[in-house]
Amino acid sequence: MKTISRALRLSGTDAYNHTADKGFLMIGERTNVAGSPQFAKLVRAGDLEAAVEVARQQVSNGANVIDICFDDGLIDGKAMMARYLSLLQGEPDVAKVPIMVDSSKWEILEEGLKYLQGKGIVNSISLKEGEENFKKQARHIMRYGAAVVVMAFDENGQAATYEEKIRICERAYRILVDEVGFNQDDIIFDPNILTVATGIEEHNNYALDFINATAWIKQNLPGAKVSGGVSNISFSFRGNNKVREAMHSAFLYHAGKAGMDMGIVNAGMLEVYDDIPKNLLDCVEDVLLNRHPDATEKLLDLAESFKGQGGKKVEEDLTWRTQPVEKRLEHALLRGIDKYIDEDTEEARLKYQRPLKVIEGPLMDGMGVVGDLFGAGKMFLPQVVKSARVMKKAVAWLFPYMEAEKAENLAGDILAIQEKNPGMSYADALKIAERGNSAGRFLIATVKGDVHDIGKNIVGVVLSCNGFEVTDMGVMVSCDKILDKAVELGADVIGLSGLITPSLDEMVHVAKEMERRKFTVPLLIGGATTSAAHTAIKIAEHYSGPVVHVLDASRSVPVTTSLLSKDGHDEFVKELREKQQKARENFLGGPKKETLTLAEARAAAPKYDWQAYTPPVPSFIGTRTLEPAIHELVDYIDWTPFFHAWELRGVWDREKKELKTKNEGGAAEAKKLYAEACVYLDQLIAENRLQARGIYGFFPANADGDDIIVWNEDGTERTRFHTLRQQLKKTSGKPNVALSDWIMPVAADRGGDLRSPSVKSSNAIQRNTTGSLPHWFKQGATYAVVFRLADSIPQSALNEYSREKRMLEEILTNAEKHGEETTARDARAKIDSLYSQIMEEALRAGHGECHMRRPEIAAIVRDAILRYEGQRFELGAWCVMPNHVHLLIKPLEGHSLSSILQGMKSFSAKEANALLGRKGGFWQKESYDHIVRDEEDYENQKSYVMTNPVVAGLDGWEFVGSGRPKIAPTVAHTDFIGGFVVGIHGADEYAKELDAANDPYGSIMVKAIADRLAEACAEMLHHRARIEWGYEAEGELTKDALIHENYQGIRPAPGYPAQPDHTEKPILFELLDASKATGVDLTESCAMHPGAAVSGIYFSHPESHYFALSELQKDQIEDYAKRKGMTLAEAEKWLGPWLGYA
Amino acid sequence: MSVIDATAELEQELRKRIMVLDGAMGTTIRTYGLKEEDARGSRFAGHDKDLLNNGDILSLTRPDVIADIHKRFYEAGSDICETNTFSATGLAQSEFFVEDPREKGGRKDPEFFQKILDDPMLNDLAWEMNVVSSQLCRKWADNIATDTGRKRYVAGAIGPLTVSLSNSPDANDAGFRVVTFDQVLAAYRHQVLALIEGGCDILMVETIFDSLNAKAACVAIQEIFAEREIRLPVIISAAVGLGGETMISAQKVEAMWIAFAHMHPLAVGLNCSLGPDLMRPHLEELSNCAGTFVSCYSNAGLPNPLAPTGFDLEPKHMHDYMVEFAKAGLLNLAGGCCGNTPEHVAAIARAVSNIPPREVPVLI
Repeated sequence: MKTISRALRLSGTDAYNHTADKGFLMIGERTNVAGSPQFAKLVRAGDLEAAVEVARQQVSNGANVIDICFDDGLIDGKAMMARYLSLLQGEPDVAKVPIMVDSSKWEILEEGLKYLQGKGIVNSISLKEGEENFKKQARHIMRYGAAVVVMAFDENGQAATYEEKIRICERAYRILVDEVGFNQDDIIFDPNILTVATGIEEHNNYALDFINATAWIKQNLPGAKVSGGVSNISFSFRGNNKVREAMHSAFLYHAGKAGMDMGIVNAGMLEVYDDIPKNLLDCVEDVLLNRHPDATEKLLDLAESFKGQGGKKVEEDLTWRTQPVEKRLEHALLRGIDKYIDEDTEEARLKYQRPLKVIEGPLMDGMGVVGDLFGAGKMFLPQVVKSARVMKKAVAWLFPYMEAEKAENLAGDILAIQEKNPGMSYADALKIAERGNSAGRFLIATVKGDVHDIGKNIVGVVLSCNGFEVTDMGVMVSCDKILDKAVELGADVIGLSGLITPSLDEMVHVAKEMERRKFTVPLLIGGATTSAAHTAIKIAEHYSGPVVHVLDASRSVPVTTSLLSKDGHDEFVKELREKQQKARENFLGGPKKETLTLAEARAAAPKYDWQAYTPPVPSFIGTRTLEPAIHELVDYIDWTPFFHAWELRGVWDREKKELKTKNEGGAAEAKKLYAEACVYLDQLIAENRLQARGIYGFFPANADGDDIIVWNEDGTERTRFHTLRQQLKKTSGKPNVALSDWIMPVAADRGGDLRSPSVKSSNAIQRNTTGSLPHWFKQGATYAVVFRLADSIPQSALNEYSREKRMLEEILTNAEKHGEETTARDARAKIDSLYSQIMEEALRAGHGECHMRRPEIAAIVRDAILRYEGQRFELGAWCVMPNHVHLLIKPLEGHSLSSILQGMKSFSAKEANALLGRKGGFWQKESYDHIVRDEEDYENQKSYVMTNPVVAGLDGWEFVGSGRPKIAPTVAHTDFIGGFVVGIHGADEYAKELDAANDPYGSIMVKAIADRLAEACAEMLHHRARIEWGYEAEGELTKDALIHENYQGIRPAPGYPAQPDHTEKPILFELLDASKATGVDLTESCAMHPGAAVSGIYFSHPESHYFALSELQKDQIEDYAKRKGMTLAEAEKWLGPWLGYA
Repeated sequence: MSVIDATAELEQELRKRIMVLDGAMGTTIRTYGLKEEDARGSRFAGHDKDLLNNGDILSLTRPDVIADIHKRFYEAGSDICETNTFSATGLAQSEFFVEDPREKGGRKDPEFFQKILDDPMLNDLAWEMNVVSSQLCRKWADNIATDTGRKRYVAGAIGPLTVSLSNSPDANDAGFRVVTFDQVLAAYRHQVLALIEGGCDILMVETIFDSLNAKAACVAIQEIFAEREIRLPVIISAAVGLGGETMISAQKVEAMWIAFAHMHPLAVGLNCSLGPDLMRPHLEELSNCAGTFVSCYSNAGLPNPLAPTGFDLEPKHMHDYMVEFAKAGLLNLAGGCCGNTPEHVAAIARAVSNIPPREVPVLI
């Protein structure tokens, strides 16, 4: 009689018979979002290609069945299950194994079943929702021909103990077999593997309960299998892989002996049982088998010594490694895998005999495929750059061999060259000697004064991918150096890059120099401010060779190819010249846009009712530095420009984490790129590669025509910013704006009496750097001031303050990390009020000697206060307390607050010390002051000062007074301007390291991220600044609103459309003393260094908005030059592209 | 309508002897030399697409031919003939009745096929084809049974469809499917109900190219069995390539058996795609693992345009192969697919008539 044995039989496209000889069935868990954070990350990022790769890797690692689970709050589990299983159907390597559809949601399990052509496993169902539901689900599964995992749950919950486990499993088994008719061989119980060594006594027997329940099921429920999620057992030891692996193995060993058939196991997270160190195994088994009451303690102790020891690594799929070396090289290039490139290249070198043959053969073939796919839109720039990285590494490997070979072949030529040029190095001579072989030499550089090079680097990489020999001279390269190098190399093409406006002039200069030095090679122009029109009109006319504007990296290849091709060159250049001629004609002779004269434009400026306007008053005057940790900036990042840097157009959706674009491939690539950027970002943070440094500040200011005056504290002019006004005639009726329109004009305050802009004061604002706030005198302002006795704040209060602050900051960090906005807001508010709370408490408590308890001392202080009242200042209220003093004070013109306070303090200190017979500091150096914002604030402050003694319990205290009749708070007549500079340090250095390691992808990535972080830092500072400015509340705007700039006020940067003149930057930097504080320097072209830097001016006016200037007319430029003390030519040079006249 | 479950009597018979299936409907139709106007009849005379290759429609337009073919197969010795319903679903018929969106730059996708599923004309047509075809076959099964005193059975043929659930036609998106599982399920449900209505004894999910399509058919069958509290014997038969894997979804024979064992089919087997010689190793594999009866109806060798049937093997060749297969203990049911005429079937019937059937392994 023929027989077939009973067994769990499963299938994908191949059969998997779990017969008795098979032992333990391994279920791969790496495709389970709960089991693998890495997989979850890939799926969330939409990188399904990589996610499929994970499945493939598991199968090649020996998983008999793969468990697939998308139970994750951020994933649409049903749709993803459908999509992912569909993709797996198309992967023969994966489709061969049976699939375990895993979810806690029935609808996802139902969906998954629709994609299994073979016999899979449904994981899981249970009696949790009662028998009827259980039967219904079991019947459904049976109809689709799958096996089933039944969890040991019932209506009362999870079975933890041995008794519960066997009771529930038996009940489920009887229903399935007797009532539903389920094949007994297809029933798999999961009697719950629960975590041991948790320190809770009831948990100590969990492993043993599972093992015993397994044995019972195997003996009493015919056909039934036992499975479980093994990694649960060791959850207590998260982070300690060595111990976890040992626990898994030992647990499987014992559960296996009891009859456990299968488990969800990360095959890479298993130690070989026999390889577990004896002492560890003993401790682990003591815990698992609950052999000693103190087993957990002992294992914990032992675990310490294994901490940080990595366990095994999951092996990758290496099937492609069995292919011939050419295929392997192609695979590596296409996939951007550089891991084996050295050994493969070496193998190819030996096979092909000559290193050059390897490059011309398999490597160029591979890059050809990459180039074709890129050209066809099937590969995207980030992939191409990765391919280039591999190519570069391969070439780097071959380089020494080629050098040796070339040297041999070219020995004669080199000698000849060196004879002619005695000073020339061997290497340079070699380069010239090998000149004959090159397909095309491309020299590229960022011009003098400019440091931006992300785009340039991409061009370099793309060109070198396409067979050009690229020499990249880096950034800030002077014209002479570029042209000398071009001569030396015999460059076929020169490419110039630049981001900032002055670079355009430098490019013109290079063009002129090329003409003078009789160059003929093509000149390529690229970079953000460059344009085809500018190239045609301003650059091309100075050089008789072809001057081509290249829009982006992908255009650089066809352009260069055409320029260097024998057949295509003439045609291309002819077309180019025609186009450029047309552009010039259009510019010079074409219809002009209608413009206004400067006078007309000024008349069309917006009109605001300044008398009715109260400008927001910042909580401090002067500057503050800020060095945020990089991770704090991440939420402020606006990713959209990042993708633009990679030539992926579209708008980044923060919520969905996808690039909104019509190009589906581009969107998919963006997702991948984003995922990788996050990895880089994490690494940059983890390795502390980058530092953010920023400074921002506020200053009193008024507009003076189109200028903005910044005041000194004595009311003299400190410096001034210059702005430009739109001159295009507007038919919409909208005003012609300049940035100065959003600062209260000086006339409203001073009647024009201070208009002598030529006098620039050299006095810096006095700042008390040790105090909490700078002391600044402002014309007409009223202040609330506190100063204290030197010993008035006890050490204990200071300690308490710093302790509380630390605690609150911790709470804040945590809350921010977990997005608990209410808690965070709460913490921020508490931090803000902490100082005044604790310090004021301490002051009231009357700490220290409290000299002013003695009426004679208090009288000295009172007299000092009142001495110059009416002459140097007016008093709204005053109060001498036992250890401190309150004032509500308005300095009169010509007197600064600090000098007034200084006088009061020194006079009273001398007198009091004499009387007390003491020496040394009487007052604390710092004062606490606060500019009175308005009428209401004034009344509050006054009442606070007046009631201070009563609140402190000083009955009948006489050293308090209201001074003169009420003084008017006149703060409204001066406006304020802000400024900031931020820089991200470390990116250039790290990028250089990566370049040196032949990793252009990483290098570009790091720079692109640093650029985003600089912008994010600027956004963060602006956020703080608006809060300090008092017109935006903490937490009022979401991060999304912040990134979309849905807030009041702007931060335009010099050199950008609202004020294109970069020479306003030195004014800003000097005002803030920014270079010292941030390490950001300005080049001679006013570019910031490091390149990842942002600066700008803050405006708070509610009507302020970004705008663009264009078509500036000569009358304004003449006026502007005069205002700035420049020649007309200088002004025209800096504003070139924005001029509306030739 | 009462449905009689013939499983028990068929099993009993199959333990005694190798039962005989029929031959190729398509091949035999071609020997009648029909023209386009035969396929159209008066009913579809004005139809704008050619219908000659729509073999199933002949049940409506030339029922005489179809009936004659059934009669000839039964006379040749077939115990079981398949209905002329290989493509009698709305999804498959849409190829002949609906403009292909690809002609106008569109594509076939679930949206397109939902319209097909919702098309009353196509639904009614498919229903009618299944009912009428079943009745045609039923009539001659009963006639010949009466004439010969041996019971004959009608197997409702459930074909593979022209769409695949496992494969993406879009080279750029491996996850794309033209049709959804639920749509295929709905189409098959409609067909299965109509075949039962027409009086079939057996449901035959055959020429399986894509096991997931077949799975949908099996889900449809089981749903209907459960809803109507009936049961009919089911035969499952796959079309495998040279490597022994289903032609589209690449499932190997044993994996396929495992995937359908839960159906407790009367038989599992292989048909079409290969001639008997090339099919043999896969049939042997199936015979070894299948815990039920095994059927085999291979093509008459490979296509050969010069042969009268279009295929290589003549009746005597099929005869010899089947003798060998039967003696090797591989067969419980034997017949022929493409290229097998009534004459071939007669030869096959002769070949297996005196050889004991394959023994079904027992599960222990």
